[in-house]
Amino acid sequence: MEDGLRHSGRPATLREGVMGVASVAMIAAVAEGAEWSVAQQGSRCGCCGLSGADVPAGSVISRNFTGFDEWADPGAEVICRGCAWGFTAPDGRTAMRVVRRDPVGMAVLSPAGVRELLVCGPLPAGWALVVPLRPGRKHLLSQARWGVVTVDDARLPWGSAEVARMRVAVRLRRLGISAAALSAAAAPFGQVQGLTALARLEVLTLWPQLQIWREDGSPWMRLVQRVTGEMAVAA
Amino acid sequence: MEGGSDPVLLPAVQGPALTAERLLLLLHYGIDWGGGWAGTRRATYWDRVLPDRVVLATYRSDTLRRWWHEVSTELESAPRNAAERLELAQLLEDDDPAGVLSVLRHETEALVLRVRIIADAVRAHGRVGVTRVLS
Repeated sequence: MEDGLRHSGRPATLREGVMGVASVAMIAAVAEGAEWSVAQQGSRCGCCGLSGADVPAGSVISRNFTGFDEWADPGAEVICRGCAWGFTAPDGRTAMRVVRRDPVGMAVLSPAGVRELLVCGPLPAGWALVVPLRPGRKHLLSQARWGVVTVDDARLPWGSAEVARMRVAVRLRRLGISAAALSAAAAPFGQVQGLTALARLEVLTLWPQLQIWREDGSPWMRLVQRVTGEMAVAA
Repeated sequence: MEGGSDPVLLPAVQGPALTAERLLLLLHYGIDWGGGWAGTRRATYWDRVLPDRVVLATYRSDTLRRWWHEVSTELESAPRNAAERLELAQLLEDDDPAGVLSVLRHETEALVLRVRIIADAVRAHGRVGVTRVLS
């Protein structure tokens, strides 16, 4: 448990590449010794598109559900147990989660936890990170894929370039720049005016490095602002 | 405005970006703050008036000289002395006028911020030294 992830206590017996993020999250979430089986047989899941689906979609999805455009097969009648769990878990639409495939593990993270993960290095292929940008709006777990950060309407690869930019964003926040200002073409004068000459030089030098994330509605910038919004910044 | 003792540290710029920065400094310092048009618009000068005029003038000009004419007329700015007139003449002869106009149009906010930082230090300390630091 030293890595902070909740383990299922079972050896990894998952078939590589077959099991979806939601299924692994489900396995990690249920108490040890409880029923955790993932159907190995069955139809393809209408939601994540992987095989092993045996839960009638109608038993989980409300009649008012409108998110079918992201489904692998919106017409399918069954979904897998993992996706079903993702749709019914109490914090399914709000929690920021990291899920790990081997060994199976899952943790609900705070914005600080997500931030730490995003600056420490590229997201490993067997990990998945789910960050609802507008909590409560969407079920993201069923949309999550291994090796990427899943946010509302986008899956973001997280390699060394993204790690470096995230570190820049966190540094700018620590220097006193507001999360909202990070998306501006230039630092607001009011936020650099009071800085020491060196701190101001650092802000101006770092600023262009986030330019690629400043396009209108960039999911990267929204992710940055979501996870750095609550950072305590030294006065 | 450079060469004093209180340094302003800015990231190094060169080529068109440096020419654009010096042009904006001349533009800013040449404004008649007493009775001129810009003097009555101090509240929005840095955030709206200056950046908007700088960008709009790039769309109305195909040469650097034309850009200066447009923007200096609008803001009622003129070099204050012979040294500034000479510097202006040299800057307007830049080898890469299209590059300078591009910086003025596309990097306006960052440019205006640098000019504002320098102007703020000058107002606080009189003459200041500007050190452009290579990153």
